[in-house]
Amino acid sequence: MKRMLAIFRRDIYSSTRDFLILYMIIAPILLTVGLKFFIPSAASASLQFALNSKLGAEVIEEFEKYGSVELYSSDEEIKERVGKIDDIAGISINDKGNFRIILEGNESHDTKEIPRKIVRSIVSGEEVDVNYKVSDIGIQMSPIAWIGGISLIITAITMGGILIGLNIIEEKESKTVKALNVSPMSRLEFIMGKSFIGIIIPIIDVFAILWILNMLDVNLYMIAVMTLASSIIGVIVGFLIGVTSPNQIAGIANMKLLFLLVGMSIIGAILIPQSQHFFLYWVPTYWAFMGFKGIILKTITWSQLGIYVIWILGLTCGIFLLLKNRIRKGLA
Amino acid sequence: MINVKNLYHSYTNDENYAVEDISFKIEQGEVFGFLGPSGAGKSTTQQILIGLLALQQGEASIGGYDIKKPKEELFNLIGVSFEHPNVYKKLSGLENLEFYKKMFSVETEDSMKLLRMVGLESAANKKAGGYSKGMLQRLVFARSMINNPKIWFLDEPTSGLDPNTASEIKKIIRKKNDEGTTIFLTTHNMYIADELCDRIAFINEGKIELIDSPRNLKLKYGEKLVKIEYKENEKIKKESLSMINDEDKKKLNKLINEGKIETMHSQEATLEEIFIKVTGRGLK
Repeated sequence: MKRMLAIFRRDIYSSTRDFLILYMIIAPILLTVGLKFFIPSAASASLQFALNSKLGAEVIEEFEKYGSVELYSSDEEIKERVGKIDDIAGISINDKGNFRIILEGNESHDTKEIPRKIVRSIVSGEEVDVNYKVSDIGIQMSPIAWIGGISLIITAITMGGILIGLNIIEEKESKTVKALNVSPMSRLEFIMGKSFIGIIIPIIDVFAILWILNMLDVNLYMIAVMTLASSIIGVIVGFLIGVTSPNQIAGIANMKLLFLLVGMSIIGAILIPQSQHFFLYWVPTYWAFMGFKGIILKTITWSQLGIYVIWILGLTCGIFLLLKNRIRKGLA
Repeated sequence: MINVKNLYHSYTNDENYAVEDISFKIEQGEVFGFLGPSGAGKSTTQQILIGLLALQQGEASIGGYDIKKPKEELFNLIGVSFEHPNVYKKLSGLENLEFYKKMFSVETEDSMKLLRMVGLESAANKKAGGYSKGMLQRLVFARSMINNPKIWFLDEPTSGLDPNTASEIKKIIRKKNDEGTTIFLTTHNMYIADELCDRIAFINEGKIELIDSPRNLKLKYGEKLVKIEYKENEKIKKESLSMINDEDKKKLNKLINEGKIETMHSQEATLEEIFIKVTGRGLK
């Protein structure tokens, strides 16, 4: 354990010296912040209302039929909420009993029009003509939010692997791996020590991504289990890049190739009909994508999650056994 | 301490051997030199012994441990100073040693003490990437002592060093040897081998041509000549006289008796000359 921790600490020191670790941690977080700007308009598929609690239970109940309702005690609080980044309409009532709709000005058509129609129906007592209610087929979240979120999570997992790969390339280029090979350190200790960084980076990033995207209401234990299992994919990717690349440039070229494979499995999982998903069963990142999808959309049970984890671990172990000799030679 | 028997190695896994039928024994406390030109098989032999290359054919043991199945204990016993400086350039000299120290499960040396020994104390906290070639070489040398090795593999330990530093390194090697460390020295530098080794092996084209002490080799292969400078008619004359030939012996005696000799040196053959005589090729 002492040796594994020493290898892990050395990798951390080495990666912080040229800020590499910082870039690897920050890159998925920055992309998440970017994604956050695109989510509001997509999230408007599910309507949101900021209501003044003075409106009364009957009005609040009426709005709840069409979307999610947040209650505030003053117009100032509603204005503050409406001013935030996502699409939300504020509804209040003045002293004379007239309804007020508070908008930021850049809202989508539905966010502007549907509250007006609901208010009109309350005032006139007519049935409101809103198509939105019919088109809601149970989608709880914008596809951009969950697909983007999962893609970034898998990117973060791959980033951990890339750091492992670059550290192995550094060992090979400087031939320091030879010095380690003539010490009592075993190859397993080396592999384990190098792997830690590929597990810790995804854990930090995944929780940061979920926090930025306001998705921390999911089952965090499931997220932790899935992140740990999926980070093994990153570790394998890292060792593959490390042992097959003689230098940093070749490492980056191999990295692009592996990213293509990872990306294709995600795109495949989204575009290919469910009945043909078996074409993707051999790719561990497909199972990671499906697992995170289930957790974020809250459609997965622990037993399903267990099956996905077994697929991921089984496939990565298989890939590791297939490449065992290549890895052994690459680290010699 | 080191026992090698009928060692063969082929990089191409055929009968094109890089080392062929190599056998030797090194006793405890001995400095054993492996002398040969580039590509002769010195590094291959050393790499097999330290476990960097697989033992394909033959037998070898170090400190009683079979190197075919190297155990942790074996690596605690040995120290290796590589010819090419293989250190972490992003870490300082001190951090390099502190990291390497953690790999061993035996009592280790104080890193600063080692850096002081090789003259790197003032550069201890400087990144190794900013070291000169000589400094890197010294750092690798210091690292090889971190576990107080009982068997020390040195590959060209003074390569790239200035004469003063090389002399300091040689002093450390002698001191360690006096303390009982067995040393396997790989070099193509005949002077280092001559100065430090108790016995040397000449290796050429993968085969050991001979093994003996430098003294015995010189006696066996060298000519017994004396090079003198003497004064005659107010002029300095130089001459090489045989210590076997009767006429030369008489002349030498006469010059000594007349007190004309200014300088006198025995002319032993150098190891390089002996190597050429034995193998038919130079040490470069």
